[in-house]
Amino acid sequence: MLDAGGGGGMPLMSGLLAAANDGSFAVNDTGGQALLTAIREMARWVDDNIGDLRLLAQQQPLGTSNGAEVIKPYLQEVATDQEGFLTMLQEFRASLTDAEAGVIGAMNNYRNIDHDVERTYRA
Amino acid sequence: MRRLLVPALVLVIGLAGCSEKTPGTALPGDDPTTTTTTTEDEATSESPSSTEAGGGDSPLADVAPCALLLPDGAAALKAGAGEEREVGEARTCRWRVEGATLNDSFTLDLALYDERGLGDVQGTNVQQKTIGSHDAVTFTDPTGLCVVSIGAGDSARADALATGGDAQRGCQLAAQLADLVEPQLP
Repeated sequence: MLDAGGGGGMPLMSGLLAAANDGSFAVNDTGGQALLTAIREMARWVDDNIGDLRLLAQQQPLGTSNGAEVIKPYLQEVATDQEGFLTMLQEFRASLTDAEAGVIGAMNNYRNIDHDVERTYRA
Repeated sequence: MRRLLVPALVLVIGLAGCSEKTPGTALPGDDPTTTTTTTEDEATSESPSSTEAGGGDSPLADVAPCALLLPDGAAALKAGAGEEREVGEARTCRWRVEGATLNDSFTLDLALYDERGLGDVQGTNVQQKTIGSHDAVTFTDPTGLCVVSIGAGDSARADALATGGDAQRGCQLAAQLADLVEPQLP
């Protein structure tokens, strides 16, 4: 599901959005709402964890010894570099926004298809 | 043989000194006497409160973070119920704002630091400002997001953060939260 290799984010989610935009992905209201609820819960989890990292970033647990001053930038880099936990969380958050937009688009697609079928039968 | 014995004894005594552990939190630049007091407090208390953990002199020591946002303020932010928790050195109240889309949805934190003043903020683009009757700063934290920090005395502060959706909207929310809680701060 996730592009753990760090090669450009979360392609599945952007693919889902693209599929919804070109009409090739549709989902009914019940299924769509279940997906949206799951996406919302996951986003909240991600936001809470990024929030915790932000709070932890405000403390200086290593003191100001020479050794600590040498280590500090590396610790920060572990969290914020391209393959760090924070970076992955932020990419995942962005992909959830795409996923939400994709599911909403897919629900609209389903309604349009439903409407078209209904019109066909009436005609 | 005696030539080897003396350095070996020095080494053993030195390593024995390294094995001693002192409970407590290592704080940079703190007065050593303060650190000693903190250690004693922690050693005699099974579940130290924020006051016992060294924030006794802090003007925020007796302040509950969730109580700083009044019900009207929470309604203005469209925030749910606040949850009090401790993360690292911060005593924080956390609210969730669920917007129409994830771009409008945020986790809000009001973090109280009993022993960290405005001069201790970790970040860049630090800008001084005044909120109500308090000195404050805005800054960009190591995650690249903005924080509004309100000073309480020389060595305590309250940080307002919004994490989640659109970054610019998050900055506005953090500023709004700071404005709403400032009148309640000592």
